[in-house]
Amino acid sequence: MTTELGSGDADFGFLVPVSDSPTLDETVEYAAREAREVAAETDEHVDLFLVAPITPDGPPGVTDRDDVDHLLERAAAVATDTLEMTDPEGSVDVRTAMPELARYPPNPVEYVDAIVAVADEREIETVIVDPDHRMPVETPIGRSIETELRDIRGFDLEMAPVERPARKGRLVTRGGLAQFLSVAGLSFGFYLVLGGFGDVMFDLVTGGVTALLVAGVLSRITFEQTPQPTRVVTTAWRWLLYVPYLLWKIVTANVQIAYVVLHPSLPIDPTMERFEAGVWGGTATTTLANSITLTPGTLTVDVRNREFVVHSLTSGSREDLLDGGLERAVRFVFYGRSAMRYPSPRERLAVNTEANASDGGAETETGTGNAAAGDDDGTAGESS
Amino acid sequence: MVEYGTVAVGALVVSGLFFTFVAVVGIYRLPDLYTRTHAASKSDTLGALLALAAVGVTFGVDTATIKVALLALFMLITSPTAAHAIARAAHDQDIEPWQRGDES
Repeated sequence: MTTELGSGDADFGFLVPVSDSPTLDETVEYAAREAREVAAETDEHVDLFLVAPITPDGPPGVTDRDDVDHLLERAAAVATDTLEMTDPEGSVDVRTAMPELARYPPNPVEYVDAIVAVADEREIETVIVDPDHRMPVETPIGRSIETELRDIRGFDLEMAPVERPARKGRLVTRGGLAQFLSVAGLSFGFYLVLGGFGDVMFDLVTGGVTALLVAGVLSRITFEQTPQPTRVVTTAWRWLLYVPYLLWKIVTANVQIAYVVLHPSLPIDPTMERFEAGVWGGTATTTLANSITLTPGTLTVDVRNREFVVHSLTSGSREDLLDGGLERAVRFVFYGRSAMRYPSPRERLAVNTEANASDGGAETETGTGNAAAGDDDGTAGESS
Repeated sequence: MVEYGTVAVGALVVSGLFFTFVAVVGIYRLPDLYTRTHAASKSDTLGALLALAAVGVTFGVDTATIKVALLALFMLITSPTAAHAIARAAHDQDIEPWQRGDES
């Protein structure tokens, strides 16, 4: 099942963003029935587009080409089956598309951009959204896909009526053994550390009881994703590398600040800097923001989606910030070694200015096109 | 061995005091809320971390040291968060940051 471009002979089209969610099958079935109904009513040809963006350069995972291909194949099979089972009047074609995202990790706006590009190309105006749709990106303080598509991009949007009610937000996740054991293990360890090892038997028993209670009450709201042992270990290992780096940054920068503060003429030059951070996801954004604040000379004042407002005390600390050492380190912790090859904030700003100087409005599906789209967002944010 | 430990503790305490002192001087000398938050949040954090490190060295290998490490960890999380909250509140109130040239 590959991308079929340029099949614009259909008169109506439905688009379904596909993600690996428990209600995907139901959504696709619903969309197929809707498409069939419209086709029968209007006696026109209808295209049903199943769309899932991929990141070709990313590590294996949810937006990997093979995984997405597999997912789309499954969804297409469900759609075809449904079409065969419902009254076979009206012609509906099931098509799939895998628009490529320029970089890993994708951010929510680019993800929706990719879907919109597919819809625009075929002049599709109706989108059917799985209430449980999960953008394979960690949305920071982001909007949901339905808000983005309906309120901002102006699509005619339908939520598929699925059996399982949509989860509101991601605070409560489905509990599971992995969640339960992780929380129990953590609280047990914490209990023992705080309790010391005076009376071992007593500590173990009370610790065990406490851990079970804590896990029973809290395991459903502790994690955003199911913890996977291998991922936890690699992330923990990366944290172990990150903390000394951060401490070293804190110490060296503190010495510089001490010099500035104690200098008789107080050589400071404070400014506000705005830049788009190259991290996504709540934890990664928080880590970067807090690390920036901890490093003397820079203070995160505000974060809106990816736009950081940072107050810097001296020009030296500003240079450090734009060199992006911290950002690169945070990317390493959360996305792995391959994610470190990413332009620094300074380089991105340079690209921004260039793109704005030339005509930045042209929309293409290449990497530079996406970068230009990002710039437009940036400037819009600044002018408001 | 004991002497090395004592020297290390002394060095940590003194440098911790130094950075806390820098924080105090910074709050006193710097011109506006944002710049003062810099001094209050970071130099202060490093001072506290160094003092905690001194405590850790004093205890040596002990469960108390783990608690000290946890304290340091919480300092590293809460201190920038508090500073961010203060600065953000000021930013939301449209308080203009002091700039070179605004000497007053």
